Amino acid sequence: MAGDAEIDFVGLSHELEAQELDAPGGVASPQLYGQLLALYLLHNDTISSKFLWKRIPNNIKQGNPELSLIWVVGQHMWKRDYPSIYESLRKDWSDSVKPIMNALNESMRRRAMNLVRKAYASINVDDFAVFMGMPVAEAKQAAIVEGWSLDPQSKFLTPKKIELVSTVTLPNEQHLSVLTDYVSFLEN
Amino acid sequence: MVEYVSKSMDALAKNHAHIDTALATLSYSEHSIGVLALLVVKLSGAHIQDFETLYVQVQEFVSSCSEEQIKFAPETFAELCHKFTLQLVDRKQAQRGITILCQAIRKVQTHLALLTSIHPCLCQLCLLAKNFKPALSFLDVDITEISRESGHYDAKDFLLYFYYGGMIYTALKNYNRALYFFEMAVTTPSMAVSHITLESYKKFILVALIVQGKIPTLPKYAPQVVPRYIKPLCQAYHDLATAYGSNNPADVRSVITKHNDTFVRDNNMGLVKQCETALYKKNIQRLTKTFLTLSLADMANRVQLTGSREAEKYVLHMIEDGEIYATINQKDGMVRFHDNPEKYNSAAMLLELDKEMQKCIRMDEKIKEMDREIAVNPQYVQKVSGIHDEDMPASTSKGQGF
Repeated sequence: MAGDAEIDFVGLSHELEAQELDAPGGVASPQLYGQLLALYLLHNDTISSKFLWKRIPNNIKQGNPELSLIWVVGQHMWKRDYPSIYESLRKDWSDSVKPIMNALNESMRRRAMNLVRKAYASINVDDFAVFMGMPVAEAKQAAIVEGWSLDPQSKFLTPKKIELVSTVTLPNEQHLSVLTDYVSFLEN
Repeated sequence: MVEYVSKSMDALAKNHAHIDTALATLSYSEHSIGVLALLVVKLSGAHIQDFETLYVQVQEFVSSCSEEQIKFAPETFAELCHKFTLQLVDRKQAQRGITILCQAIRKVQTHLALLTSIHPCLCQLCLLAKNFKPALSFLDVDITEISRESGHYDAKDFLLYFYYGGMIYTALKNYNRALYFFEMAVTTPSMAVSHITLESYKKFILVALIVQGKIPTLPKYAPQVVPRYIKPLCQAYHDLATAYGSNNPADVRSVITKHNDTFVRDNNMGLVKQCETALYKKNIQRLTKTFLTLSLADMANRVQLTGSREAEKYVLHMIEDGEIYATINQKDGMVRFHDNPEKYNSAAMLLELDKEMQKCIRMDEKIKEMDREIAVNPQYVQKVSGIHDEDMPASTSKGQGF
């Protein structure tokens, strides 16, 4: 995998799934397992990652400690234990999974920020830093950049809600033809 | 050709040793039926020496056989798949059969909504291999027709499909669809009790508790055997449901401890534990009906959680999963509940509605078609006109001569 930008993670995971099914003797390479496991975590598909972990043969798990390290991240994600997730992501990953794990770190931060924005009317700065896996000062900075307001005395952040923009539209003729279908169906 | 082959199955079995030579001379795509028979006999052997060669032969056959020819021997093809599955399961190599069975089903299906007896084999392999995605492309399609397989299609295949399918959806936490599948298995018309129905009923209760918080009443067309014979065998599960109805987690926990052995023996302990977590969520959701805002400490008290921190965690997770609409205010330790922000006035919602309406329209067309087919079926006509005769012996029967 050359550059970090624009790797098609979704396409890659479909490819790897097909390769796993066609693998000789039903057992794939440790590299495939590592990549697929990391990809499932990136897509937040903790259920698929759990079953993938269950089906990796024990001898491969023992011979490839990196797989266990990736799974540890998965276990923390399952429990939604944010500090442990960031802690376990801070490892020296091999080249085949590094881009995926880096992307995972980014996406965890984004997901955490979105969740806090959606769920909290006000949140303690320390708790927010825990969600973001950053030191408190950096977290404060990130929040201010997003337009959140900080109350300096009581150290509470107020997230700014985003208005959802709907981009899907239907052309008018299609509207008309769809409505005609319904009416003719109801008449019969 | 098919009749000749089915009559010579015994002869083939006796000449076991020569089968490989025969296979070498035939072409998989041109002589599909012959090859099919030979492979079935090989798979039926009591002790298979060289499984690897046989595996490759089956793999090549399924990918290169001719669909035209297979259509004449669907039950033999299904038998091939069944025996192949059995061998793989015995050898604990379930994973290797998945792609092959997917191909096999596609070859036999004349349309995507056709259920064959190969479907449950695929589901079984997926469950044993713990690799569910390949089965989903088949399970997600609603069935409208069952392949007769020359009369060999068995009720067991039908029940197993829905039982295994339900288990797969439960593992993937798609509880609504799982509930539908278990309900199908439980409401299949029957006169006798089947173990599959019994196990489906147990899982049906557990998934219903997770999704709806109570056991739904079975539809009118459910067979009488279920309440009469199956219900009494599931006392532990009914106890759990009653405890659930009290909304008290302590009661539920005591029932679970009391019937621990039963649940573990039935391999349902995982689901039972999920019922327990679901109860806390249900109780939190019930609070939204009474309160507009609530303090976290108060919530923890009412729902029997350990403290406001745990309550905050539960609410946060429920917000993330879309199970509740609320905002947490850490400054004053309060939770404010909202209504569903969906106003149902966006273009995206219109598209969703459109999809659902199209499904209903197609379903209506399908039912009309099935109704027409039955109306012109000679057996039906005879029966209907026969009853007509009994009621009015004096008048001339109008039914005949359609």
